[in-house]
Amino acid sequence: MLAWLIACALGVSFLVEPLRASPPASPATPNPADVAERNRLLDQEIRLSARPQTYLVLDLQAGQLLIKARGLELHRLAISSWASAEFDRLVGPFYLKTRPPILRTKSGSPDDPSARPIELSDMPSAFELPFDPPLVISVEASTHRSVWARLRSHVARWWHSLARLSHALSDASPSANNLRPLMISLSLEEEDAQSLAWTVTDGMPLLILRQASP
Amino acid sequence: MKQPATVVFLLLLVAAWVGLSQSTWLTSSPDRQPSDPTQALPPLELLLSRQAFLTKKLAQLAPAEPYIVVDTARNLLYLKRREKVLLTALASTGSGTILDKPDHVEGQWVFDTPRGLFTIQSKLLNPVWVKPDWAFVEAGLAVPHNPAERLEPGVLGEYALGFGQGYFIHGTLYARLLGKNVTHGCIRLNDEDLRTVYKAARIGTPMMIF
Repeated sequence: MLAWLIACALGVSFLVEPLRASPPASPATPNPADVAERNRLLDQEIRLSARPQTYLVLDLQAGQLLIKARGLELHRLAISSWASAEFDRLVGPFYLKTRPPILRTKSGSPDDPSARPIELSDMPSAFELPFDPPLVISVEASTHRSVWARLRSHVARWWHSLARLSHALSDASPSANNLRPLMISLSLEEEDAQSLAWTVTDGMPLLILRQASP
Repeated sequence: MKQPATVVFLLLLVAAWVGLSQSTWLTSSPDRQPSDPTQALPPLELLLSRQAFLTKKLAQLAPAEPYIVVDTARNLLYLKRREKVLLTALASTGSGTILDKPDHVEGQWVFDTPRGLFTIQSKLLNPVWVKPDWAFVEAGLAVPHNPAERLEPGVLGEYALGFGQGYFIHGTLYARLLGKNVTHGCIRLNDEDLRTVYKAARIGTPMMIF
């Protein structure tokens, strides 16, 4: 009975998810909260653009991830779906601690078959990006998103909720709350996920434009 | 046996309720607004006016003159002015392979094209390649003591544009490899595209590599 109930809950959740994943239609009149949120991002971006660096902008309003430098868009990756927790703390900027590991081969003569250059297709399509202040972005390819991967994602959400409840019961202090890493799950096309793994560098800044209005 | 299972189930339900009802997990259709930007918001007109000001300020940080963008994943080089693409060129960028440094020296060379923001620092006509240590080590040769033995003319094409730390945009004898990640970090172009970039770029031209 219990297993049946859990299976039903997960099943309903699976069916509902694709409906929730489509981006909302943009309203005719701008929502003040959306504008305020964009202004906050612009403020941060102006500060970042003054330095000689490339940076990421995760635009949750438009469902895209931008690679930028000096305010210019260099490349755009479409996000198939995303999920996040604790929007209030997603203000950034965040700085990437380490890029995904790359399996590099030894350089040698052109005749040496083992000395194969790294290509985009060699990049992982499922990986985690840890940032400082504590934030983890979990990336997976939507095209290869198996039932198992979706189940894993749902279980992770439930687990997070359970952990949150446990924290709330055991320690209600705001400092402890701030130490827990934030989580964002992103689902991208396989090549875009690999492209992101290729592009990111250690220390790369990330800005997030949150969805402010329903 | 049945009681612990029921407790676990109830705990899961409560956790899910706490998590979802408070929208701790939001998706692309959220049902709650972030708190800080929505608290005591100024009128929409003021917000829009500030947005226009900030957008203009950000646009002023973009280069006014032509700049170079290199996509190392797809081996493409773009010459752009503002949003307009002046040239799209097939390139060869870093192979990402590694090479152990010779005896007594710890570490490895990593043959990546560096990513980030750079500027053109030098423009060379008929450049001569000064072979670095790794070129000899990779070929299984001893690193020469005489600097003259490092010089190799005619392999970099007619022009070279340095963007720091020994990295250049230059020509190639291996045009068939354009579009592939085969270099030791430099960016190779065919003769015609190299000429166009050389003419358009000046010392200080911004270069964005991702």
